[in-house]
Amino acid sequence: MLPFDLVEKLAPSQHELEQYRQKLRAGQRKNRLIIVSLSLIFIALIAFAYRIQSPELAICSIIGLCSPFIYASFCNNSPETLYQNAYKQMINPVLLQHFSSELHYDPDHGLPSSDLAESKLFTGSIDRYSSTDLVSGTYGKTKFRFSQVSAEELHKQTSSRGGSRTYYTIIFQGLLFIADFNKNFSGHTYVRTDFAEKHLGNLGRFLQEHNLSSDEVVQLENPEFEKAFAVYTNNQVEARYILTPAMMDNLLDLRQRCITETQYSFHDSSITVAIANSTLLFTPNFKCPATNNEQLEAIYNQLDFFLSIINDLDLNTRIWSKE
Amino acid sequence: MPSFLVISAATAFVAVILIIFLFNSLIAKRNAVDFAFSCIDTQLKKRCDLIPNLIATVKGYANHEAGVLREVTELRNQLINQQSATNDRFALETQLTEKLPALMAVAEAYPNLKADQQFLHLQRTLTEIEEQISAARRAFNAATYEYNNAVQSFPSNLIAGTFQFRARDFFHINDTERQNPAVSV
Repeated sequence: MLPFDLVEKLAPSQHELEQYRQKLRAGQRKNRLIIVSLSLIFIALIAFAYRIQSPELAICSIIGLCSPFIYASFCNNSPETLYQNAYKQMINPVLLQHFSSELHYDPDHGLPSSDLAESKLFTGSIDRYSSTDLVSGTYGKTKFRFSQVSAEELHKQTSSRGGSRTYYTIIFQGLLFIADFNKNFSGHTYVRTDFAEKHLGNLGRFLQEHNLSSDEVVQLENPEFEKAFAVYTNNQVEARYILTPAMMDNLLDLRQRCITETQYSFHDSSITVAIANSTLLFTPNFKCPATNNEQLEAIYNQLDFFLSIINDLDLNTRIWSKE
Repeated sequence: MPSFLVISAATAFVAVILIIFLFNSLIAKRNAVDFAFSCIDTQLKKRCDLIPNLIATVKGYANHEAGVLREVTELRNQLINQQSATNDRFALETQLTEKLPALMAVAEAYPNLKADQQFLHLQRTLTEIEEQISAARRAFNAATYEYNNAVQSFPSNLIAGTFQFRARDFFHINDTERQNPAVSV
C-alpha cells in the first residue's frame, strides 16, 4: 500500500512529468505524421520512377523511404526512453528514500557481469550483457546491491551447405540481488533449481552426484528443499553452516513468493539471489499518465519486495562473530 | 571350449572391476565419515578452549555464581583429557552443552557483565561455535547415512562384510539441545 504522505510528496513531480510526457507524445505524433507523409511521397516517386523508367530516381526514392526507419533504429533517445529516464530519475530515488535514507539509485548503471559469472548459478559464457537500475546501500545492518540483468550466450550454427549463422540464447534475465551475509565463510555453495532430480528421479540424482565439476552435491534433511533445489559446494560442513533448517525454510518461502525461478549462491561471505523475470522493473509505461498512482504503487511494491528479501532471509540478525 | 574360456575371463574381469569399484566406494564413504567427525572434533575443541576466558570474564562480575562456574570448569578439565570419539567423551560434551546456557544466563542478573565488550565477544563466538558444531554434526550424520546405506545394501554389503566395514552410529542430539539457545546480543 502506497503511503499517503509519499503520494502527496510526489504529486508535483508527477504533474511535471505528465506535462513532459504529453509534450513528447505530441512530438512523437507530429514525427509519425511527417514520416507517413514522406513515405507516401517517396512511394509515389518510386511508382513515378517505374513509369518513366528512371532507375536513379527509383534508388533515391527507396533510400529516402528507408532513411527515417534506419535513423529511428539507431536513435537511442526515443521519446519513450527519454520519458522513462526522466521518470526514473525524479520518482524512483524518492520512493527509495522512503524506505531508508542510506539507499542509492542509479538508473543507468548496474552490476558487472563478473557478479553473475562468480555466482556459478549459470553455465555458458556471457557474450552479451546489460544491467541497469542499480539500487545499493545499507538496509538495517546489511549492505546490499541489486539491479536488472540480461545475459546472453552467442551460438554459431553451421549448415550442411557450409553457411553459418549466429544467434543468442538467454542465460539469465531478471533481477540479481547481492547482500552481505550474516556469517563469515570462505567456500562456495550454490543452490540451483533441481531440474535433473525433478524430471529423472533417482537417475537425475545419480547424474548430479557424478557431475564433472569439482563441486560436490549436498544432501540436506529437508525433503521439500531437496525436491526444489540441487545444492553444490566445495565444503560440506560450511554448506550446512549456511543452510540451517531455518534458512532452508526462508529460501523456500522466498522462492514461493517470487513465483518465478529463484536460485541462490553463497561465496565471499555474501549471498547472491537470482530471480528470473522477463518484464521491465522500476520502469513506467509511456502510454500511461505519469499521474497514475497505480503505476507508482507498482514500482513502490517492486522496490519493497526486493528490499524485503533482507528481512525474509533474516540477514539483519547478527548474533554470530560477524557484526 | 575357447568361447567358454573367453566368457569366463570376461565375467571374472567384470567381477573384479565391480569388487574394486565397491571397495573404493566404501573406503571413500568411510573416509567422508571420519573427515566429518574430525570437523566436529575441531569445533568441540574450540569450544573447550573458549571456556577459560568465559569463566574468567563471568567471575569478574559474578563471583557469587560459584556453583555454575565450578561445574563448567570441572567438565572442561575432564574433557581436556578426552581425545577420541568415546561414549564418555560424548556424554561429557552433552553435559557441557547443557551447562553453557546456564552460564550465559548468569549475565541476565548482572547488567555490567551483560554490557561488557569482552563478554559480548565471547557470547558471539560461542554462538558461532555452537552453530558450527550443529553444521558439522549434520554433515557427519549425512556422511554416516551414505556409508551405512552402502554397508547394509546389496551387493556392497558382501564386500563390506568381507573387509570388516561396520555400520557407524549417528551423532544424536538430546532434547535440551533441540531447544533454541537462550542467547541475546
